[in-house]
Amino acid sequence: MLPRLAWRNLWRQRTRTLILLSAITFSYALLLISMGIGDDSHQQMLDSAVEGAGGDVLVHRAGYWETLAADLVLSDGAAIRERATEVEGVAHAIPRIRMPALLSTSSGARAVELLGVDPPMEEALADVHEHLVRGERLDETGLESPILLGIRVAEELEVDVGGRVVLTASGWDGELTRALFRVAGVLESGIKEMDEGLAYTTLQATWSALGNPGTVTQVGVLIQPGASVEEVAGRLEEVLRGVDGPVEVLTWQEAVPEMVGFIETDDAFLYIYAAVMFVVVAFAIANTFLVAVNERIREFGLLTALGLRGRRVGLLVLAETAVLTLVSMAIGLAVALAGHFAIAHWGIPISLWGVDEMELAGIDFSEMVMRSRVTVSKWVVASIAVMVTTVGSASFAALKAARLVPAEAMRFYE
Amino acid sequence: MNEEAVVSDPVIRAEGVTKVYRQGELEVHALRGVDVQVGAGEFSALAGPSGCGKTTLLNLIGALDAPTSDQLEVAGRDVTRLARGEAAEFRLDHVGFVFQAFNLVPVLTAFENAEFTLLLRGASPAERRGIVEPLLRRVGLEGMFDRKPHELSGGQQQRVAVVRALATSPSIVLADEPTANLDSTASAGLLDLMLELNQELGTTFLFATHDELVLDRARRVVKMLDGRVDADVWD
Amino acid sequence: MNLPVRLGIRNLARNRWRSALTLGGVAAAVALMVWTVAFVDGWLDLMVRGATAVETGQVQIHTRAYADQPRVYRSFPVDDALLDGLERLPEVEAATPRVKLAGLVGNERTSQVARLNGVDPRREAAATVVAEGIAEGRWLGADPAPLPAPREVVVGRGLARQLRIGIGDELVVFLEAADGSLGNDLLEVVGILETGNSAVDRSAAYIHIGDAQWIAALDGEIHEIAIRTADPEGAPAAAQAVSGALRQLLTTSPDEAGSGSGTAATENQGQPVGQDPLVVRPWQEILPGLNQILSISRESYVIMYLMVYLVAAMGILNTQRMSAQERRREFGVLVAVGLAPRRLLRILLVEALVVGVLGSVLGGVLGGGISWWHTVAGLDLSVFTDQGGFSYMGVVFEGRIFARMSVAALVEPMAVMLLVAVVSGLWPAWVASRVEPAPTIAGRT
Repeated sequence: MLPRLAWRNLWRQRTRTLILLSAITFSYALLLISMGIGDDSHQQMLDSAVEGAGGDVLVHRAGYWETLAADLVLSDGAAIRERATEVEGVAHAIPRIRMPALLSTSSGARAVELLGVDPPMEEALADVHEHLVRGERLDETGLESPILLGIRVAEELEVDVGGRVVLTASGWDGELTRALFRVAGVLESGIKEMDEGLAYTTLQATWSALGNPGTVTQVGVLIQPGASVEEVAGRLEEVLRGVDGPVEVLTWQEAVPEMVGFIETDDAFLYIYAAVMFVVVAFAIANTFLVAVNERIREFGLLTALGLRGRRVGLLVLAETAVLTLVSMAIGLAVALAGHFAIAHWGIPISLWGVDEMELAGIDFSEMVMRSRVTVSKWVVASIAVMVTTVGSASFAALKAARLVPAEAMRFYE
Repeated sequence: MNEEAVVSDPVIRAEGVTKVYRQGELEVHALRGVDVQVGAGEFSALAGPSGCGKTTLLNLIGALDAPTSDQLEVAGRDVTRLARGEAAEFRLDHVGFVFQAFNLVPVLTAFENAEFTLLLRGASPAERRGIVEPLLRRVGLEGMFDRKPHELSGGQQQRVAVVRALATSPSIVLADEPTANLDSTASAGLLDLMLELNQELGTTFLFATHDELVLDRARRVVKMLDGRVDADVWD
Repeated sequence: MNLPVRLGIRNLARNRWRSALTLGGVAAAVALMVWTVAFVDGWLDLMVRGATAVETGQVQIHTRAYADQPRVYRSFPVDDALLDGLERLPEVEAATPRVKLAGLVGNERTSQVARLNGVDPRREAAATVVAEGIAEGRWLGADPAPLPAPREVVVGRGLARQLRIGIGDELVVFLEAADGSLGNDLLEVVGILETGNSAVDRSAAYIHIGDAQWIAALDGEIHEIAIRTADPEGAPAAAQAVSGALRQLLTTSPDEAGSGSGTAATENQGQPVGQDPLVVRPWQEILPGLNQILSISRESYVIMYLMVYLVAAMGILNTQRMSAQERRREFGVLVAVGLAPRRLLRILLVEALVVGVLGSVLGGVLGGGISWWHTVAGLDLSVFTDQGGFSYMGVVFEGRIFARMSVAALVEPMAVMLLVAVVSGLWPAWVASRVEPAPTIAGRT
């Protein structure tokens, strides 16, 4: 009976109920949509971070990641890769050489990060060849020391497919080494750091230039869906102990702390705004129900005089709030889901906001398209929080109604 | 006694006034052709059972509502077709009101309530003080100027309303059941006061009531029944 | 006090709970916006400062060709007279000449790609805040130590970490010189930088300008003059002034000044063949991405206002509507005694305005207080994230972020709220002013 009575009471003051309803609906839908967009952007940022770092879990010689020093290397990449692949929860293990180097031609010199990769293995993380605008894939070219250059690098060195570049790098022993490479292809990704500062070659070509075949700087591990990054990292640490000297095993969170820092800060701000918005809404609700109770003092008095217990009168007020909130949330959820699907489907490129460049934690996001993603647990928590806030804010009015003394209430007139 | 009284220099001249309310599909004939004239300086009452149309007639005279048909002149002015703003201006200039309850603004003091109509007319503070203060003293509210309505008794509140009604020197004061919420002592006091003011200032008073205390004092009682004038009794 | 204001304030006081809750909602919204504006202002300041103050400066001068594509040989001559002349401009606080080189620095163990800035230590410290970023050791000495002592170098923290070097360690620099030869020299680390600018901290090294010119075979020539202006916002105007002054100063010198701000037509007047004209650009042109982010962040205030104030507006609307409904008999009497509907409307609007004013003041005090606290003491980012900070647009945000409390940050949200209060009071006031006195007084509504 209570909900029906509550429902009818709500519609006695239609305008007031509609105003409250739209306030709750608006704030709730806004919160869900903001969370949807935020979670998706953050996921994209994390994906880029994982891609940029080289995997979900990274294996290096101890101390390498902080210094990126060319002398801190894994001398037997193949052995590490083999052991890692056998670990539970590991999907792929990808050996890789990263090395700062100077590329030069007769027209100039350019500092780049040289990545020596195994192209088929690398595809599990990201296939760099999808950005190829000219030339051939590393694993299809017939060239002996092939290299792929970012388009800006190629332009600056005034070199194109088939041309020669000289690589200068300090080798494994710190000695400066120079080697000749042939340009197999040119990459254009729109991602600044790739176009302006990356060069790809094969592991084989790197080894023939720098010596010490088998040496890599990193083995990037991709985990199986559903596996826990921390657990896989723990197991890897266990298995790799003593295989090839001291190694470090880092989760991507440990490897890109700046990105994690941004995401956590961004989330914190979203929650601050959501909290204040709901304080404003809660005030309006508390207000309205206080007034509603005052207006209906005689009615409540009558109900108590007829034998309704004070507690139940209070519950009636809470039931009215609960019904109002549930209706608002149902509409809000529908609005939020519509917004979610629309944004997820069409996406909002950040260039739409007039931003051509965006960089975060050293990773370029200029091409990012904001979409939406539903994290069910977060939506559930947010919904409970909204329910608790709204019903809680009416509790004072409910208490007041519950404590009415029938005789006094009946005597009261305007 | 039933013939129409001849009034010289009437403040109110009503001829065949009708008023029809619509309540959904239903037509309610509140007034079915009222002919009445009220002269300056009268202290008169409209009487009759509930639903006889006395409040409706009072509202029409006060331009709170518009008649459905025919002639109604108050203070020489046709009040049958006034726009909202014009009606408010007309009331401010020519009519004083005393209602049954809720006469006063709860957040304003006795003095502020009393001077309210003068304030609306744009009178200066000195002017307002000069008019309202003697009147408030006259009605026995000396020393209560700064009280809020809830700090005054029902009779005192009605006296403030009387002062407000008289402050603008209106052509007529309309009082709809002004004693309904008062005990008999307070009622008698209020009515005696109004009668004295009627004699002192010459202001026309028209009541709508079925309170015997009012009818006793009224010098003319217009009895109404079913939206028509049933009898017009002069003392 | 006039009647509407008196009525408004007294009606608020009459219904304390309702007023407290309404004002609370309005104040929370205003406080949030004050804090948002102050915080974003502080944040943007930090970003502009991080991006320009450390290295870029607010205005830069290059040769046209270098501005298009930096090359070690695209240099121009400079002398103290020119720099002093620029510094005499009212818009210019300091000017610093630079040789900009890229090369490998390292030791027998390892090497890294670094950006080498050859600078005049005194002028660089005056024009940028780089010297304040010294975390260990010291800034470059005013005069380079005489040969054969190793040349002084100050490196970024990231570079030092990657090379595993500290104060007193030696480094070898290796790079391509202007004449196409390979230049190299021996350097000794005298200082380590932590500036908050990721680019500098990760990969920059500073050496004496003379040393840089010697390594790169640039006799007396430089690549860039970086200028510090009084106000970063005024950089475009300062660039115009600098451009004009350059033309004057260079009448005796072989160079000719041009402006970077799209006035290419003025560049080549009387230009000797082969001589590259100079371009003057404000940071907004040099770092267009940052400039966009700044303007977007400012525009995003509008969206914030829209969302936060819309909810607050609904609260005001609701309260005003309720309040009017409760008092409809009172209004009926007032209209009956001659209060014109239009005047009643005005009274009710003033009441809404009073709610807005009081709520704004309350919110201003609350938001202003919190913002002031964050302006003075800063907001510790580690409250939000265990990582302690992050980097964004090349600027490191770490530890405490300081808001910037300003009159505008305080007044704007309050003023907008006043407008919102009146607008949201409009409908309830309109409905209430349409009161029909007769039935209302009779209690028939």
